[in-house]
Amino acid sequence: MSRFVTLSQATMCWDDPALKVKELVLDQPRALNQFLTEVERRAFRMAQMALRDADDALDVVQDAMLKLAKNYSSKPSAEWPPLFYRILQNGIRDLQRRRSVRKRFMAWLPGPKDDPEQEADPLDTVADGAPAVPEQLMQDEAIQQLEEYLRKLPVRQREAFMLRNFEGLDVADTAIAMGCSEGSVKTHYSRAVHSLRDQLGEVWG
Amino acid sequence: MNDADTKGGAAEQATAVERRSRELFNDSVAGLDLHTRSRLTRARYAALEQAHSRRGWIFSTQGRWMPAAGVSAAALLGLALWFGAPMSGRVTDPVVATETSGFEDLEIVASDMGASDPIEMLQDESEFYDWAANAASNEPAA
Repeated sequence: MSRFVTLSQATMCWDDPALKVKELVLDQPRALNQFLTEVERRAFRMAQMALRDADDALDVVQDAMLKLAKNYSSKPSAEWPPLFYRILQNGIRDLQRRRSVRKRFMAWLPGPKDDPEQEADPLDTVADGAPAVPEQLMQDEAIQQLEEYLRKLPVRQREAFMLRNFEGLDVADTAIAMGCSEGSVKTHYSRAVHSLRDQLGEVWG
Repeated sequence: MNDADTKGGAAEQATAVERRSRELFNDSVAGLDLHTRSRLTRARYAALEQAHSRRGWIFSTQGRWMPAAGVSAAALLGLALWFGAPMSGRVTDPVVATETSGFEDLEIVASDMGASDPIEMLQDESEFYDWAANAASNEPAA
């Protein structure tokens, strides 16, 4: 919060407690907007990696932003990151659970098992004629490999790895975001790193 | 190669994987297309507007309390029906209750006999009752 209050405002606030409250209230939406701007794309990519669907990822991120703004905007801004990622991870898990239930239900029904909307569009496989940049191709391939191996990880390990390594949350904030102890975070993260090292170490080596 | 070297190599490789994966993730975030960025911006504005607008707050508050208000209203209505309706017709004094009951019984019997008013019925048959009383008193004892 303090980084959004200027020195002159702080000086005035010192003299007038009522003004201090007013300034802080006025700054809160601006601070929340700034926070969400900083995290929205990264949160979207995390959700997309876990869900493998851009629309679902966007829905989960939007829902997380809305819940944070509605329920926790009055909290100190330092508490927003773990709260936001906790809401996000809960949303991702809920969606994955619903998908799993829907998949089990669909398995009982006769007819085609695959959702036609999930089938690959044949046009996607047609070359567009544009010259492919080798570096970009390698980059795309590397990120695809990373996503593939991340999805193979157990859910808790993947969450710990993404929050710690991608978002830079410390152990305590990751524990809040995951809703578990700090010791569990360390264990999940360590196992995730070792697993990815075994899988990707040689590929990227 | 001793154990320390092996552990050191594994740790180095783990750090390399962490660093490389972080770089790839950051690149993929930076490479998000404009359409997705635009949708995220709209989603953020919608979230902030809904959370901070007065109207949104009122509606969300109403929405949150609507089920409770409905349950309360139903409970009040139930209590009113339970205690209110019987009390309007209930006779607490037993005497009045008996008299009321007797008058109602008389009305029912009179209606069965075809008379519209039980008092009128008694007046019409008064001559018969006089004759019957006289006949009974003049009758010689057996």
